[in-house]
Amino acid sequence: MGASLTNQDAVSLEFQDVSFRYPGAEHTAVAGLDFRLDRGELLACIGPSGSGKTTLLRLAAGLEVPHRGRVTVAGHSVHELAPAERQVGLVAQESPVYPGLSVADNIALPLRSRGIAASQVRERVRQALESVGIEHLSEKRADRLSGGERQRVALARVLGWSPQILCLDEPLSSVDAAIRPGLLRLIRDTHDRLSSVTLFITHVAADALAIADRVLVMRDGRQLQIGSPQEVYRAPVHLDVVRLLWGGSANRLQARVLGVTPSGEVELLMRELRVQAAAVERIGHALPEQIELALRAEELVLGPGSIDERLLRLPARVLRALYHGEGYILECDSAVGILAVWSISKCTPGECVQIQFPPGGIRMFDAASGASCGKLRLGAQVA
Amino acid sequence: MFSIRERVSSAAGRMLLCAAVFWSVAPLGWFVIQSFKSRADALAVPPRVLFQPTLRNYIQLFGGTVPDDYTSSVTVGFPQALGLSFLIALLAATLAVVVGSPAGYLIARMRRRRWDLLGLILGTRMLPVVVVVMPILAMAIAASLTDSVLGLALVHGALGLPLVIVVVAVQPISVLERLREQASLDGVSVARQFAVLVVPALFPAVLAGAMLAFLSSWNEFFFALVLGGEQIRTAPVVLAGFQTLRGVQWGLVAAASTAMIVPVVLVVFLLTRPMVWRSMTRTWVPR
Repeated sequence: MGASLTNQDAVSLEFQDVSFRYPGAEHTAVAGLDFRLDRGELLACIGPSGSGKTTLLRLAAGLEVPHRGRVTVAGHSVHELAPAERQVGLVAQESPVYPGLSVADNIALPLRSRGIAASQVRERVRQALESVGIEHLSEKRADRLSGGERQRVALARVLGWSPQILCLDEPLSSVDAAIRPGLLRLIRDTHDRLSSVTLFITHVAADALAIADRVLVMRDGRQLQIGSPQEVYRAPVHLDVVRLLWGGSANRLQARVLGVTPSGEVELLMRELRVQAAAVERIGHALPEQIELALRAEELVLGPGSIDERLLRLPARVLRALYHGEGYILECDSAVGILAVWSISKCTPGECVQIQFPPGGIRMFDAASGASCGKLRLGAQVA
Repeated sequence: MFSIRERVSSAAGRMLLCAAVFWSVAPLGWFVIQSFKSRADALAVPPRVLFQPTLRNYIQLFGGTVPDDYTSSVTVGFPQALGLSFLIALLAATLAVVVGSPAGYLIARMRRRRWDLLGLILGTRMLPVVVVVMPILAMAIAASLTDSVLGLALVHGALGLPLVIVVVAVQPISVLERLREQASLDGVSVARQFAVLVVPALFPAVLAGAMLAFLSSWNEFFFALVLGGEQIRTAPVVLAGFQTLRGVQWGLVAAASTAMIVPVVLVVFLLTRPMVWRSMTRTWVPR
């Protein structure tokens, strides 16, 4: 641990083909992680339970040693730095507070350990308490607080000592819905104020998309996709990304590829319906026989009148209308299966509607592997 | 409202519990009663439930003289033995805690082969005493540690060591380890991590281990007999000496047994009070 990180170092965090397996475990916890975060970047990591998100965070904090590859902080291998010199502020998912200490002492402990003067410690503790809105809990024992309050204490602790790398493991998982947006903004503001590198682990897609500069989607320890929130949301490269980011608004339709014409026209069989489709975007030369088409509820157009005769239009019967604040998600029974369609007005169950597929095309995926294989515009029905 | 079936099963459970308590405590109670009986009452057949209590056995045990030719010939030396037992048990427990607690904590942190190692350590307690007594005696003679407090404390400490190690090593410490990791990133020194996190978290386990080690030494007879001598005679060895050529001194045996039990009961009673535990496990934070 000869190296040391100074405040002048341009902080960056880099994973170079990192793989890690827990001792005694059969499978690798993470494999082939490869990305770089520069100063001021906030990366939100999303994935199902057991996908390796927490392991990724532990590797970044230098708490685990990779079996292959390197994790570097400002160019130094993270293990060459003593823990206190890594400048990593960690908010753990489980038991994030020091038991037996008051809330104020929890926040003050890292400051005192760094030899900061008592008067400054008091001031910083006050500011940190204020920023997360827990001034009234200052003298309470931290381990006697509720889960949400503890997470705010943990957040206040890292705010107090202003680390250059923030590692936040589901910091809002137990927080009340009412204060969640405020704390989410606070995380982003703190990140901006510190110009830090932030790793933000969450299972809430909306949180990840709202505050991240880039989103990393993980599954089975591998990075499925990394990119800007817009990229990842609009152009998912895998069905699991669709599942995680689109949630309840995702429509997934099974289809069989019957043939591809030399001009790029694709003939599909969706249930009993034969549909002519045009490739808007193709990945790879050959299409798999079984594919899945995925599109969001808001991409489908609802209405009795036709907008574009060249696009697939299906009659459907409303099964139920789910209220979503500004509108409704209608679950409709159609010839290609149940479709979720966004509507600003409520429809009564049993009502017949027309659903039109989008002109921009819809994503298609290999049904077996889940990998993206391009985009299709569904056209007219084949007689 | 409870059904009849639930009431019957609850009553049966209580009766079973009472029977178990009676089974454990009755012999002890009978011995305590015996210790307050005169020789005639103690040896009466059938046993006397109603009798004139006397402190004669205790006076005799703790060095006083009683007008009874039958037992006055016995040189008791019990108070010294009791003090010596206490000193040796205290030293043994301290030794076991000082060596065993860090060892137990390290084993608790092991990610692999933890249970194999614990089985091996606990296995040392399963060995028949006669198997290990000879090599230990040979070593004690070579090191001139026979008939000495230190020699016996070392051996008793070694006997208590597996108990402390196992009690500490089986503690669930994953939360503690996460907190330590966080503390190290927060710049908290290792010494302070121990003061603020490790010691308070493991204190109850260490205390339980210390109690077991203390009791293991307090009750130990065989090594005390073999390694002891003229100077070093612990309470169990002295107690065994009450079986003389003229018969077992039942009154003295009962009084000595009671005297040996009282400190143990007191220690266990005090240490299991929640208030004591709370005050002892409170985190200490230097400001």
